[in-house]
Amino acid sequence: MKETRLGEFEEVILLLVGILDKEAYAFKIAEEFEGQTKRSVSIGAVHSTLTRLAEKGFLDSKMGESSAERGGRRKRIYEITASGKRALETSRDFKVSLWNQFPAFAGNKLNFL
Amino acid sequence: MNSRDIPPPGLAEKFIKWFIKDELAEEVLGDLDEKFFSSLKSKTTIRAKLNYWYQVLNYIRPFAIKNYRSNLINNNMHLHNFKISLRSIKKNKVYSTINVVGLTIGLSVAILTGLWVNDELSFNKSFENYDKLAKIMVQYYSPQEDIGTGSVMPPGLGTSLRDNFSNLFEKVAIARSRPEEIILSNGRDQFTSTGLFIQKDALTMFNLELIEGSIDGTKDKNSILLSAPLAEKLFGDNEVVGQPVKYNGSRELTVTGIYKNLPTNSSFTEMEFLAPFELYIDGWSEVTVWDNYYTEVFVQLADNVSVEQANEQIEELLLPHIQGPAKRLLFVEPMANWHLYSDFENGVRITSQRMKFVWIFSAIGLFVLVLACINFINLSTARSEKRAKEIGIRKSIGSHKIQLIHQFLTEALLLSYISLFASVVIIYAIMPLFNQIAGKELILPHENPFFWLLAIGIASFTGLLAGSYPAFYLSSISPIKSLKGTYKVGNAVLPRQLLVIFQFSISIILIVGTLVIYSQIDHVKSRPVGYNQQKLLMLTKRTSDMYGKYDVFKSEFIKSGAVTAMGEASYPLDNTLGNNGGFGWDGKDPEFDPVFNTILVNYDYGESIGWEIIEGRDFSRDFTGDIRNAVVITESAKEIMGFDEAVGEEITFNNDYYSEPRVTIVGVVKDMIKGNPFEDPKPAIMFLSDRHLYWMFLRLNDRLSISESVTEVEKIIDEIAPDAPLDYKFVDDVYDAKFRSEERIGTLATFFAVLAVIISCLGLFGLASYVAEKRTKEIGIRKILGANVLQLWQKLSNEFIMLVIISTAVASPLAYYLLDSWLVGFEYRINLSYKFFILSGFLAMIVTLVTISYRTLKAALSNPVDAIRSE
Repeated sequence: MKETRLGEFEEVILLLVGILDKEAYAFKIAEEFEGQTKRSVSIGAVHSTLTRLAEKGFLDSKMGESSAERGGRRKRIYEITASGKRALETSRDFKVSLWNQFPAFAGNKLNFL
Repeated sequence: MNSRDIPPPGLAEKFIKWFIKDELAEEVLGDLDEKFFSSLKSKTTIRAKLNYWYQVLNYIRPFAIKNYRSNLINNNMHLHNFKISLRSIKKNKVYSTINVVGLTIGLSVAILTGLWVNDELSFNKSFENYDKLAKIMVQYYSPQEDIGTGSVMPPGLGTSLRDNFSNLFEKVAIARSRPEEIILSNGRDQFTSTGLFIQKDALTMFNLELIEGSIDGTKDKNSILLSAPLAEKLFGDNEVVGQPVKYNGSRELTVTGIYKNLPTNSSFTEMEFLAPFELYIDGWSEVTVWDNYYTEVFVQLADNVSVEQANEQIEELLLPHIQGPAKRLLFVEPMANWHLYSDFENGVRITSQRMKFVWIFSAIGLFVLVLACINFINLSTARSEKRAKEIGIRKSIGSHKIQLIHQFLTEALLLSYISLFASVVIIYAIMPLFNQIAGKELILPHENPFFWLLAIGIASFTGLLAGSYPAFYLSSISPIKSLKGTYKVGNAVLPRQLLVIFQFSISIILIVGTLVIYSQIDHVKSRPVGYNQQKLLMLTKRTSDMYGKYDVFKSEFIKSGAVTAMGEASYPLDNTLGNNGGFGWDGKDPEFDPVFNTILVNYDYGESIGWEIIEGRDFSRDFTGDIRNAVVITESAKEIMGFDEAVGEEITFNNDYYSEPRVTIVGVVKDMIKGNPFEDPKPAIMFLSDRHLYWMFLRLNDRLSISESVTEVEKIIDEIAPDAPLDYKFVDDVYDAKFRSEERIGTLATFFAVLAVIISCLGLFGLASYVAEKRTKEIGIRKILGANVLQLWQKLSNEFIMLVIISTAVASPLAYYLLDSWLVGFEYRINLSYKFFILSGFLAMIVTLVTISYRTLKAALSNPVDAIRSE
């Protein structure tokens, strides 16, 4: 059995892949991560997570175009699979249900949906 | 696009290309390039390059590294090796047990000796100022004599060093040159305690840790610092600091602090108290005295001052204070030398007795471990015939030689790790016993990762060493031969026999060593001591109210029936202090100036200690001329003086400590052994004195029990001198204590010898089992043809007996050399006769026969039908 739960870092990376869409390759994802979270991360760490997510079946990938900055090398573009989307939704739903059970917030009728 | 001109760091690029998976190379290198050029825009070139390196290093992850998966296959191989090893260990229970037990003993001995050696080498190192601390030593140059080396100084030297050489020495502390025994009393109970009188700078030099109180308090001469255990004994749980204690029954001191015991592994570990040196000399000496040698001088070198620099300046400081042709030159002895390197012979530093032991212990630890390795090698090669088939099959289905080597090494390593685990457990269990034998306070440093690293390192090394021979030897077996069944282990027999001979030689050396050490101790213990030590009590007069009451004491003691004789002397019976030269007699060569042990005794001394007169008579009150005019000398003194008839001869002397310059010999007694029992007796001259002397000797009544007599003696002393602390020793106890360190060596030698013999026997047992098994069929046929059990037993044992005989022959000269150099250290010693070697060989033979007979007899007794039918 493959582990199918999402870690915090994995979840963020998965979301960033969705956000970046056609531009979702390791370097860009790492840049975007640093931009959005103000946390530094190495490309290697992101790449390793991407590979793991692909192994879990949450991501799919194919080789994309090359460019001059890359010394004419192609990049690997990642794409969320259906089960990746499901995993994200499950994770979000689970958290919302937890938030709703939190009396201080539930009473204020905060609606996250 | 200027930035395109700057390429990413080439080395980093090469590096990542080297380790990264081919299928990832393109995308990863692309990403890294993009990252590099984008950081070039916002950062300096250097930082961009550094970042490139950072990114590269962050790609060292399992998912990205080339061949990582094929490593996994290798892991599978390791797992396979591990499994096969376990199976093979389980299958051959006897051999595995022999190996594990042997290796466990070997590793335990190696670790224990390692800890011991480490302890010796780290002696005193716990002092913060270890590198800076030193003591002053002196070399005596006298015409026609060997150069002597010592550390006893006049106190004036220490004072001068402090006052005039502060450029060399940051701190100086004068101390009494040996620990003093004093009596401390809290008003109710009194305790004899050993401690040091030392100047207060020592407290900071040796960074003494105070539990309570302060170092400032020691400025007062009437103060004392107590060790925690002594404070507990004296005051229990009560307030200690500021409390008074009575010192030797009279003077009152204030306790100014309690200190944490000094590290056990240091020169000052046994000091129960520390008191000001000024207290010790109060009333009879001064710190400026230059003509009385009774102190040691400790110094802390100033920064940037080397030992050599200090030596140069202090070397001749004693010269202005001595007369005559003799010279005394000073030098600084750093703390690092004190424990292991401070033995001198004729002025030259020699390998110290302790350092020799460090070497011997290291050697023994290593040898015992090697013995265990030999067992492993021997048993594996001996059984190689059995495993030849396995190897043949493995090879024919494609196993490489290197894989077989892996397999065998895994097996060996597994056994040695099991043994390491067992030996750690065993060391835990026997540590207290070992400490008791070795007189140490070692602990297994289980919190020290370095220790574990080392232990695992040693175990791995042992495993590799033990496994290497079988691994390389067995893996080279030809598969065709082994499968055809024509494989024979012919050429492995000789090395195996050599290894057995090596094993037994070591064992025999250790057996001879044990025998010789014990005979030497026995020999010295039973040497004639020249007086009667049984039920002889030594008492010191600690307080003034004990003086001037000799006759009262004597009559009361005798009257009580507890004591049959009583005498006095200026020195006790357990040392040879009090040495003087400058004597003259008829026919003496004027150049010759021997030193005699000179003591003052009273009329009853001889009777009380029971000395043995061999010529002339004892001192006697019947001869009024005896007092101040008569001396008794010992046999060896007579020999030195060269008299045929000593009685009636006169001795002159130039020392003024005695009022007459001329005395007459009235008697000669047998030599008395008072100091080191391993040395030749010191020639002694006993002067008759009517002064009151410090030491009293009481011969207890034979017919009463010791405790009855002692109670009676205590009662009488308490009546006559109520202030006097009771402080007595039995002469035979004190004498026995002089053998402790040699007995310790004996016990350790036995310990190691027994273990070495056990390991060797285990190996032999294994070999015997193997031989018996291999020759089952031969034995069966011989039996059918009429051989009896005895003949078969002989047949099977012959080989081993030959090996033991050869081992004895090999071991004897080595053992002779080693033990001879040990015995030379003793003046009074046994002859190293051939009997020891024959006896050891004989013992080894018996042990061998007992070990192998179980197997050989079993083989010889078995039913031949079973043996022959076995296929």
